[in-house]
Amino acid sequence: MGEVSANNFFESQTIIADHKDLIHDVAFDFYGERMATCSSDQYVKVWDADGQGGWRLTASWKAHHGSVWKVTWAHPEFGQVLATCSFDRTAAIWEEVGDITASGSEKGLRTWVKRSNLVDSRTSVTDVKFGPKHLGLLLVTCSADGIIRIYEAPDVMNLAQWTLQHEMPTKVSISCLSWNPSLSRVNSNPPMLAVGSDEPNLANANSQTDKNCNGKVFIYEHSESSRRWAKTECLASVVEPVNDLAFAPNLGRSFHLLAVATKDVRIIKMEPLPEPTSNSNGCGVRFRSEVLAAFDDHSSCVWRVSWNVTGTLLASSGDDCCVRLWKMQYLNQWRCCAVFKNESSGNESPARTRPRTTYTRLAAITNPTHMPHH
Amino acid sequence: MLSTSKSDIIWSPVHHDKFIVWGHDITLYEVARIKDIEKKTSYTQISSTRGATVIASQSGNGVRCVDISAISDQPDPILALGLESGRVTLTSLKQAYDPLGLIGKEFAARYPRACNSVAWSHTESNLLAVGMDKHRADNCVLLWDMNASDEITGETGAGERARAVAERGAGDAVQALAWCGFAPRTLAVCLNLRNVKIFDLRESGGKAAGVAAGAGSTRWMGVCAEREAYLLAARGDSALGVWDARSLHSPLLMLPQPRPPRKVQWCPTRRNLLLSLRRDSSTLRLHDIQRATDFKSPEVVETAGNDEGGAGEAVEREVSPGGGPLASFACHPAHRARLLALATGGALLEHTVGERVTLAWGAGGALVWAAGGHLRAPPAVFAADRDDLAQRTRRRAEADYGLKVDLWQNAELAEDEELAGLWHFLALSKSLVEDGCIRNGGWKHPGVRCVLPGAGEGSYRSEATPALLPDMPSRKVLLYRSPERTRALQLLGWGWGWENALAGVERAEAEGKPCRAAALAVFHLRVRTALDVLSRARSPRLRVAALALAAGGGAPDERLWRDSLAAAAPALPDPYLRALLHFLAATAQAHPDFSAVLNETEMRLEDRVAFACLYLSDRHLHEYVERAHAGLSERGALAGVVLCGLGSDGLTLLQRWLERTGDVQSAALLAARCCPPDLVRDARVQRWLAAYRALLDGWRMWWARCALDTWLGAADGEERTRRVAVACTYCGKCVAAAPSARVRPPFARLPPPAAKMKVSSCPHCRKPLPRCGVCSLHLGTSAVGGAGGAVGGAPFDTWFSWCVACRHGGHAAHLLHWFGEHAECPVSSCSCRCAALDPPDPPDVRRS
Repeated sequence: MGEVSANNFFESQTIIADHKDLIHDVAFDFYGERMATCSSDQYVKVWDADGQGGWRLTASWKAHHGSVWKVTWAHPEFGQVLATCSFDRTAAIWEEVGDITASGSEKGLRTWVKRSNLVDSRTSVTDVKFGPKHLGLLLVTCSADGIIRIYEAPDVMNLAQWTLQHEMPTKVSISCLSWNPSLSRVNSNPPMLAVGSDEPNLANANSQTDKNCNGKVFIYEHSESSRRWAKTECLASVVEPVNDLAFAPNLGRSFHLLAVATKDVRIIKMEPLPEPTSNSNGCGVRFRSEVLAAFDDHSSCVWRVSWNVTGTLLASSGDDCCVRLWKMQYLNQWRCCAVFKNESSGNESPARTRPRTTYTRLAAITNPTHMPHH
Repeated sequence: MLSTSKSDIIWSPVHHDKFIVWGHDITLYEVARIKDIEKKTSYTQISSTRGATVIASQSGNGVRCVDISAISDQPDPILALGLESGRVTLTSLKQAYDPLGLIGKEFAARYPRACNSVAWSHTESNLLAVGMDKHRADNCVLLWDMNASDEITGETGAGERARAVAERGAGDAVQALAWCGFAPRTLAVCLNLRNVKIFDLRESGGKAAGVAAGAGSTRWMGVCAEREAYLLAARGDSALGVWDARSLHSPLLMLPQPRPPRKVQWCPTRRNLLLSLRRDSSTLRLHDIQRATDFKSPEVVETAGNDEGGAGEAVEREVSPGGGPLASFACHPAHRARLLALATGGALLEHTVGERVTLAWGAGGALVWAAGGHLRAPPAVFAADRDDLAQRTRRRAEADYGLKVDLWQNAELAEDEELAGLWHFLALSKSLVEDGCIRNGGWKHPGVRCVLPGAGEGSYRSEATPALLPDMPSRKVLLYRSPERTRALQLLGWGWGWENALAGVERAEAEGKPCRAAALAVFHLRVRTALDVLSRARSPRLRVAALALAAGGGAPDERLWRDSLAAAAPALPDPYLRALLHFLAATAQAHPDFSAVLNETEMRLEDRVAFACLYLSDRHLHEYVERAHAGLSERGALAGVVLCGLGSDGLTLLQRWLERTGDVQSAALLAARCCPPDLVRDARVQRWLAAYRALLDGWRMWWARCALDTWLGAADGEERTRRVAVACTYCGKCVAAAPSARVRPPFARLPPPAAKMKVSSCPHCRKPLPRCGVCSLHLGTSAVGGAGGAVGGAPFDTWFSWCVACRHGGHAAHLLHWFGEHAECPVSSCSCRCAALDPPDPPDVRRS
């Protein structure tokens, strides 16, 4: 399915980001005109488009005391706000302000100020995401010990105050999460989250894992009546550790598309079933899920997936150091339409024996008292 | 113990294409691309593109340790060999030019004993550190200086003993040593299988500068230090230990290992990345060391807790270069993530370790991904090369697609034949409804099904009239007609009667579709016209088709002609030609069967249905339309709108089409322009509109979004309603939308100077409007009300404008001017930095 002809390979351009270590996340703002990067060197950098296809560094600061895993932008309606999460067990909210001390010619200079530090987690915070804007200013974090936390800023003008609204413990390590972006005000869909677990599959793990479902992707939905978040679905088709997942932008479709980065690139269609009855205890099956595509072109492990703005192109990166683009064809058939080599020496094709890299997992913190004191 | 399993692979730190493998022999290899290696030379393939050729080799007998010097201006790597006898000799394996006169030099300890480790300094390349076994109280760490010892050993030979520059570790045994990266002349040494110590050779005295604590009961076999950083790692028989050289009193990390690691190395190109290889393992393990804090002074950490465990954590990965159990590996000194592994069988495998690549997609269509510490983006040609829906949507939005006043204008922008056809149909049905040809309660865009009521409703009966083919007098067919069918034919673009049809024929011919033109003519029984059209066609094949047509008209044996037609028709390239011949063949029968024409699905739907409207009886026509509609609706084919119109069935069809193509833009615009108001309020339409608005917002296309809302407002029957209004602080009523019908100029007798009347107080309660923060005058707008239908309102300069944070404001022009030079609010004593609340302007905006 994913065969690639020779002219589908593309060389890529480099933007010198000058992070001292591996970049863990790149995030675009709502308009795609600002970009934030975060890295193991504990820095976060903000880039502005220069209008000619290039990027200009406008801010760079040390954000955490550990590797910064993820960075995400809030909707511009709430101002220029970033959230980061880190190995140092915290998530932080940053707001851009004009420089107080500058005057005259330097007044365009801007700085990012830490507005809040969320210190509830006892382990590394692995992902952070702002909620869809029609829900207000919401933030969800997840941590390596499997606790999902939803924070809300009751006053959107005061970013220093965040209340922990919900805490959902899962028994497995959570690596990634994604909000369902569908506009729930007109859709009558409850707010929905998908979370992915990178818990490794131990050979004799049957005793430990959940009795009925050993899937790695869970769907959480907020119930208006009980005012709680509850796990409504576990996608049984994904059983390998999940590195990333992303809901496609819902452009008027009646179903949801979820891309999952696991052993392969997987595209899952989730079709809400009509409510059988109005009982809202959520025990029934809420979705009919169907795997539309599963591509193992990234030899063994896929790291990240990302949708374009219309949800018609999916980009994925994996172990083969390539970035692949998947395009929707007629009737939800997906096909690889481009491959980008990451190494500039484009002739470094995979060796004969097909090398592989497997991701194991984060080692446990042996002694939490050695962590920095908040 | 070591000699049995010893085999290692080392890259030269300065010659990036050379490495050595040592086991029974020490062999120097050179790496090159396979296509650059000369044909006859034999080479070992290390990857699909690279091979290694042997340059030189010598016996490794008696050698216990090897290191390659970092002396840069040498044609070939210089090796230091540590021997069983305690001597260290320098060699280059290959007879070569030797400007420094180093080759063949020997350094010997005072008492002969086995030499366990040699290490060249990479910062001062003339320094060589040697670690020895224990010999009474003799020092076991020796530092030799190539330059300093030159005069002494130069000619006197082995008899005169050279003196080491520095000696450390009296009475101990060294298992391994490594130069530390954080300071010059500092060594990390693994002593007596128990300790890991740091010696600072700049200090005098034999004491260690630091002892790594928490080593526990592990027997330490090897040590390595990160380049230009503070981390140290040691391998023991049951664990890997990682220390920060600044806080050695407790290990940063202890990684228990089920099997003793064979080799451990810091990645030279990436920080905090440790590679280790276990015995009998076919995979390498990558430890990405994570630390939660910068270095803190020992006191701080001590107060934090006891000293078991560590403050670090490692993200671990397994890398398999392939090819079975590994004996050793070496990271390339300069190339990122490239390493060479040596299998126990002797095979060499090159492998590039894939980093976690993160990626993101921006709203503007920009894609970036990370490659280590940098970002990458697809080349500019790529974007132009791929035509994705996102780009098409944006291009169309920029061209005001869907917002043009005349519906058919949108068809030209649709960039899609199916969509263009739909826009044309909608334009046609709109004009028919407006002309009063079709009256249909409330529907703006009825379809064929709306004008042809079902058979059960019994509302119409068609009258069947036999018609002769003027050019083929022997044949006749039944033509059905009724007012309903006429309307349907109008909707389908055919119209009733030959006059209308002839126009269609000419149009089709002008569009360069002679086959369709001919078919239309024949369907209206004008075979002569069809022949003329075909004979005018440019393609010679069509003229041949005309021959067949002419033959069909006058063929003596019709059965023969029909049979040969049935055989030939599938080979004809054009569906209209096939339909045309099928039709002629059918007319020759007493009870013609037109199914071959009706099932010619490559014909346009309009033509098929129109044909059915002419030649099918009421019942059959109804069945045909229903069947066609069901099929198209199921497939989500846009052409189905022709049948069902843009009503609730049409929305269902659009929804299916949208799910198939993802084109929410067209769906939203079609619904906004063409649906009756009650259907616009349908949840599906609202979802499309919301999604399309969000897209436009992300692209900053406010005009397009505003125009869409205006169309929606117009469809709703309301006059353009004001969505934003300024309300008076005192009475809460809208300041701008004054009750214009009753408003009278305050001084009735004085005519207002050219309608430039200023209102500086609320027209309802007469309280003054707020003052401008810059000019301190009351805000006022020109009194342009809605009475005259004047659009545009006041000039922009006098608009109300305010900061959403501090609520101070003023005239737009004044504020623009003010914030051109200031960042702070113009109101004194307000320190709000209003101008900094917005994101910085994109540069193109700033320029203009």
